[in-house]
Amino acid sequence: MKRNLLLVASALAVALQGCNTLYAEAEQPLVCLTLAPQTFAIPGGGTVAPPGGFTGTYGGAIDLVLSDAIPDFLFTGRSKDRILRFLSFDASVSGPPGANLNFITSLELTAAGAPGSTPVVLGQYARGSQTGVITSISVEPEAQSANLSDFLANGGITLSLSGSVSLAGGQPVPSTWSTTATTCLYARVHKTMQEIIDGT
Amino acid sequence: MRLATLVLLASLAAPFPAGAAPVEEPYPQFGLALTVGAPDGAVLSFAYSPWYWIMADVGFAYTLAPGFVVGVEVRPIDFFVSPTLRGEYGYYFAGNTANQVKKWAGVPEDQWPLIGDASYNWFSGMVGIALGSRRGFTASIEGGVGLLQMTVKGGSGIVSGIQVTTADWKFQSLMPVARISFLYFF
Repeated sequence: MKRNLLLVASALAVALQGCNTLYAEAEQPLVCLTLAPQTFAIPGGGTVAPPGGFTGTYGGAIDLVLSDAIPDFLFTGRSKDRILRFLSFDASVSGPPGANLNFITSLELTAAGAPGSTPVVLGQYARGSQTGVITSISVEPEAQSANLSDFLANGGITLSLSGSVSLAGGQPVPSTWSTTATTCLYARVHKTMQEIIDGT
Repeated sequence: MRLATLVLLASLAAPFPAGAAPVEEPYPQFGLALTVGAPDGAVLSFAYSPWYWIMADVGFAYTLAPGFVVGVEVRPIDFFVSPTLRGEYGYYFAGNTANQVKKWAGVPEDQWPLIGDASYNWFSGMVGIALGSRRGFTASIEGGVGLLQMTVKGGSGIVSGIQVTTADWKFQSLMPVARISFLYFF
């Protein structure tokens, strides 16, 4: 009788495994990383804006060390079964009175993986007609937020910021600008029992 | 004398009146069960069986935290050996489980602040075999498939120089389940 039961159980297990029916899923709806303060150079800065005003650009990269911050199991497995999506990016200043980001007219955030990979645009910011003191810039995701998990699985993610600055004539033009950056992500992984058993 | 003998023989040969037939003892309806299994953990349950072939049970469960398990089981054959068919629901409350979850999941120590206590629930369907008497003690072994959902509280901490804050983690698994149960009806 026990042998019959074992046969039935084995047949059931084989059938279920063959269909990849058994699975496990893990989901992290919101993980936010507050990075160390970042500084970006403004070429041509460090002077006073000419009477007609100053327009320039800036750029820089941030290595996103997610593998240290989030358990590894979220980034292993088949590419189609793991998802890592960008949710938001906030750059803020909280320095002395007068700290202001209103000279930043645009910001584009891109993500890239290992050298040679094609970067993807995560989101953009444009100051528009906003005036007054701006202490925080928020970048919302593009409508079709890219799946970044392959970047992470193949060596890590580098976030790149680039954009433009604009100051009225006579105002001092900083040579750099610094910010505290926080980025939030969504992560999900799906694995069949067979993949878990195989450790893949 | 001869007449008396005839009356005695006739009465012995005649069938018993309906009311005098031996009455079968009814099946006991209440029982206590001790179960160990996965994801059940250890469960002490109270069973009620209105008919010999069906039983409902509700039990107190404990592993790393307290919980409960309710189930319905069918044993269609009233014999020493019987197949079983069982469906159950279980829930474990969020207790002080965080440390064990971190160790079992192999989470690096610097990520421990990001993972809190866990609670989980499951539905499962099982088939199995029971050995013993429906009027007394039975032991059963059952296996099947269950849908388990777990919520692990998030947290906040500094990992590799980065301030990391996580929302609650969510896990779901369609997984094999199994249990061994010892049941006594009284």
